[in-house]
This record gives sequence, structure tokens and C-alpha cells, in this order.
Amino acid sequence: MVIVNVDFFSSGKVAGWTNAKTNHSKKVIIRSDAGDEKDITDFINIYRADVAEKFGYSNSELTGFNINLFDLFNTRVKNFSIIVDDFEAWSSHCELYKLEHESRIQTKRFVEIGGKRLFVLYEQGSWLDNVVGRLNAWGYSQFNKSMNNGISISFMNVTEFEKNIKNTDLSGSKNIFLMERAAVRDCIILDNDISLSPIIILEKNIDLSLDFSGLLNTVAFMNNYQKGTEVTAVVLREVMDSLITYSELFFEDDIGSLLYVSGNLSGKEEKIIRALNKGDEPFNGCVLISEETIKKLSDFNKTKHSVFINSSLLRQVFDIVDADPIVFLEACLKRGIKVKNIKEENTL
Amino acid sequence: MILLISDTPVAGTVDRLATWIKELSGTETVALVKRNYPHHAFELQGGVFGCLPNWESYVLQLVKKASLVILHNVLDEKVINIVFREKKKNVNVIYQLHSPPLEGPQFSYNIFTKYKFDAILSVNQGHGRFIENSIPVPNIVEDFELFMPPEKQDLVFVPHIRSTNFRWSNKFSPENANQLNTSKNLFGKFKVVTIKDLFGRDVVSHSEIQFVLQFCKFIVDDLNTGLMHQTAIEGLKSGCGVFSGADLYTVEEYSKSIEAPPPPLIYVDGIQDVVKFLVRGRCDDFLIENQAEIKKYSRKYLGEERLARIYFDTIKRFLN
Repeated sequence: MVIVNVDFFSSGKVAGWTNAKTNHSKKVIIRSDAGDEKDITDFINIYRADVAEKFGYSNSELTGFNINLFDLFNTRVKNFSIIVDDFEAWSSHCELYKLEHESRIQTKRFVEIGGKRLFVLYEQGSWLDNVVGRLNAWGYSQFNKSMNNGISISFMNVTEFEKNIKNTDLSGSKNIFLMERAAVRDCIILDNDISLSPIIILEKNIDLSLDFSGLLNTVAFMNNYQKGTEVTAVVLREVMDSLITYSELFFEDDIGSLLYVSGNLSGKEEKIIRALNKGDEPFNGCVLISEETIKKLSDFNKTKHSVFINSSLLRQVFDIVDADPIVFLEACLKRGIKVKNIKEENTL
Repeated sequence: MILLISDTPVAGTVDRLATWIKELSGTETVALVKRNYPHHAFELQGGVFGCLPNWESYVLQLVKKASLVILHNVLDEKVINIVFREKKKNVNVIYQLHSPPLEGPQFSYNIFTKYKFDAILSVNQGHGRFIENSIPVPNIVEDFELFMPPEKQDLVFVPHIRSTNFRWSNKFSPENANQLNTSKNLFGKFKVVTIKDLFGRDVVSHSEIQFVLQFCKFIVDDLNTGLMHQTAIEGLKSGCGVFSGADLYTVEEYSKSIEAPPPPLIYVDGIQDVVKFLVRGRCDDFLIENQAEIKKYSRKYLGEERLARIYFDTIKRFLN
């Protein structure tokens, strides 16, 4: 008998095993809801020890598959079926209704609109799933919103996140996503707007080269983490605590006012910054004041030029506000903060 | 043999690189592209290998012959596995990155933790900031000449094909378009046009764009992200005034990697600066005053062969 077993699926991915190739040399196809068909026989290329043990297969008999549907179809697939020799062996239509909520900790079962929320997103069975499991063992009352500066916390695996997010508009909420690297792609494909919220990418060992916004650098600075620190349950809890404790720093993104960082500060600069701060919306970035407009980074002169930053962006540069001004400026540009160059004589 | 492999044509880059690397190295260079874009905007010299039922054996045979492999935004691990498994021992494998973080197809650069590449190249238009220790390389922008010198028309061309609200691809937003549209009556004889306005469709071939650029007085490149795009370089090479929001990092990286002063773009802080410029009514004067400098810069620093040589000089140390 041909068996098709799906362990995990979402609109971006399907993973499981089948004996269709090993036992029966059958052709296996995925058919999307749009009617596109892709032969996945060659994708059944993973050795599954559990399956081999149960059915007595040798090491060379491959039964597992882990397929990225987005790559396969070059688009998102809402529903799909697995066909073995013209027979529909499995269909996501049927499975969708059987799925249980698999999160072990969640302060609210569904994501509500508005408010501040910290999402911890992981792939099922991953290292972060295990770390979250350890936190769960300590009891989940500690994640109650009232005990966490009014910040709701959701621990979700990607499948569950997908189910919750489908009918939820996140745009009114202030969210921060702590996401394991493997989940990033699936989550963003699922909802592009997620990447408009801050995302902290987690690896099993802290990898600051993945910190494209600067938030992880700030958290690492606060906790004195070195590169490569292992993200254990204690470390995850500390990372979350930093974000929650300093919620005004991390969750408030209303445009603030321009703050002095470095350089010359005479009447001219003060006048310009005061005028900018008086406006309805002071520039939401870094302001560089110089006698002549500069075009490239190496033209920056730390004694002649003054640097200011909007207070709403401190969360992205907290670790380097005291660094050499050129390091600060370069980090701003790497972390996606816009830099506006104003000529000193500018009357605004 | 030098082998370039990519999932898609990467806006024609891979084919163009193969032609130049072959020319400069004297070594057979092959561009292997797995699939074309749905609209087939790029003619591919070597076809697409993904259509073959047994493409693995085709790729495998070429990998075995390669003296250098450069992967361009390849995500298909089957392809990467073949490269690392079948390449000769001393052959270097380089990865050239073409996408910003948290965006497709690379998102969080997973490939770099799974495989050990001998170098990572990034496009020198500001992308070096995304990955530590990457080596900026120029985009080899084609020389393009019409059969007769074009008479420029009063057009401000907005040639953006893909612009999203992501941090690094929000080149030209719907709000930007709206602001240009509401002020258009103040631009005098100048007309702001998009691809759709000119061609009546959203997707056009690259040569169609190159042709139109020759006739435009102004081009609007990326205004919002701080990066620079091929359009900006093509605009300069076509003698246009190019509005650009390129930031200090991008200009530093670009000019350093091509050993040139900052490009003569019209540096703006956003759409409001473009509107101010066009409303001021000094557009023709600007071109009269600056076109010679733009052309001189393009001839001196942006020639296709010069850019290709800089690219090749960067990668030749990886050749065995």
C-alpha cells in the first residue's frame, strides 16, 4: 500500500514521508489549487530513521521530503494535493480543519488587533521550539500581559501563526518579532507587512551579522552577550525581558525629537535642530550638519560635522551612541537609518 | 572553464558577465540559468537548463570541467550540492549576492551558514552593507549607442518595474507618484512618464528601456532607500540628469570600487526635492551646465569594458 504522511505543511512548505518511491516506484506529484502540477519524486530524498525502523527499510532507501512550495511554484499556494499515480493521496483541504493549536504558551489564544505584542516564532521541532518548551516548564503565568508592562506575548509555531494571522490586521499594533532564522522566509512570504515591523533574527548562537535593524545589537549590549552566546531558555527570557522592561525604547515608534550625538555644537547647529524639532514631524533619521554638503562617508569629519539622531531610533543604535562618530554614522547606514545632510547656512 | 550559475537571469547580469569574463580571461565561460522570468524579458544565450528532465547531469558535467564557479542568488540546494560535490578539489566557489535582507529570494541569507564559500560578492550600489566582509563589484552596464545621436525630449522618466514598501526596495512609492502627479501642471513643458505611459504595458524588454533613456532629459532613480540602481548608471551613460537618493554609504562604496569620484547624480532627499527642482523651471539650464560633465564622467569611468575589467580584476585571484 502506498502511504503519504505529511508531518507539517503551510502555504510555503510541506514536509513528510512516503513509500511511493521506495516500494512502488511511483511518480509523485503536487497539484496546486490553481491546477499547476509539479513532479516531486526527486524531492523524496531524505533518510527517515523512524520510517526505516518501522518498515524495515535500509539506509539507502529514502522516504522523507521537505519541499519549499514557494520555490516549486514560484508563487504562494493556498491549498494543494499530493497525487500518486493519478490518485489523490493527501489534500491540504482536508487537513486544515484537523490541525490543532500547537502552541504551548500564549497569553491570548488569538492575536487581537491593536496593542503591543512580542511574537516568538519558531519552526515546529526546531531548537527554538525546544527552548520555548523549557520556558513553558517554568510555568506560563509569568508571561501574563499584566506582569509584562502591558505587552502581550505570543509563542507560536509558523503553522499556528499562519492560521491566526490570516484574518488579523496587524497594522494597528506595535509588534516586535523574535524569529528563528528558518522561520523568517515562511513568515514574510505569508504576510509581507511583517517586515515593516522590527524583526530580531535568532540563531542557536547569537549572530550579530544577521542584525539588519540594530535591535539585537542593542539587546546584546544591554546583557553583555558576546558573539556566539548560546540562546538557552535563560538567554531567551533575558532578551524578552530587555524588550519588555524598556518598552518605551523598543515599542514606541512615534516620531520623537532630534538628539545631539557628536561634533561641533555652536549657535548655528542649535538653531537648525531647534527649527527641525519645532516642525510637526522632525526628520525620522540621523541629521548631519556640515559647512558644505558631503556625498560620501569618507568625507565625514568628526570635528567639523555635527550628528543628531531622532530619539525614536535610539533602539537601533543604543550600543553605539558613544562610539567614534564615523562608526556611529556607518552603523546607522547599515541598520537602515536614513541620514540627512544639512548645510550649516541653511535657514530652513 | 568558468561557470556562472543562477536561478534566474538576475536582470541580464549573468549573461553579460559571462561574455566579459570570457573576453578578458580568454577562458571559456558559461552562464547557466535555471529558469527565465515569466515575462521572458531577457534573451538568454545559453537557454534555461531547468527545462531538462535530467538537468542534474548537464550541470554536473560542466561543474566537473570548471576552474571557477560563481553562483548568483542560487537558492536551489540541489544545484549547490552538485557544485560542492563534483568540483575539482582546488576550484573556488564564489557567491554573488543580489538581494537585500528580509526580502526574496534570499531573506536571511541561509545559504551562507550552510556552505562555505571562498568569497561573497555584493553589487557596489550600496549592497555591501548587508553582509560582513563581502567584496563590492561593479554592475557591468552596457554601452548603448543609437544609429544617430538622439534629440532629447522634455521627458522625466520614472522607469521602476518593481517597487515595494519594504525598507530596501521602496524605490519609488505610490505616494511619490501621487506627489509628482499633483504637481505636474507646475513642471512647464516637462512631462513625467512611466513605463506604462510610454509603452502601454507594465513589462518591457531591457533594450526598449535603453532606447527610451537616450531620449529623456531626466530619470528618476531610487529616491527612498539610499541604494543606487542600474537605471541610475544607464541614465548617466545616456546623458540624462538622474535624480537619486543614494546615501553616503552607497556613494562611498560605488566610487571607491570603481576608483572614481562620486557620480554626477542630482542628489535628493526625497520626492519633495525632485518636485522643487522641476518646479523651479531651470531644467534646461541644468542640462546645459552639467551635461558635458555627466558625459565626461560616463566616458571616463562608466564604460562597459572598464567596469568589466574592474569586475574581472576582483575575481581573477580566485581562478586556478
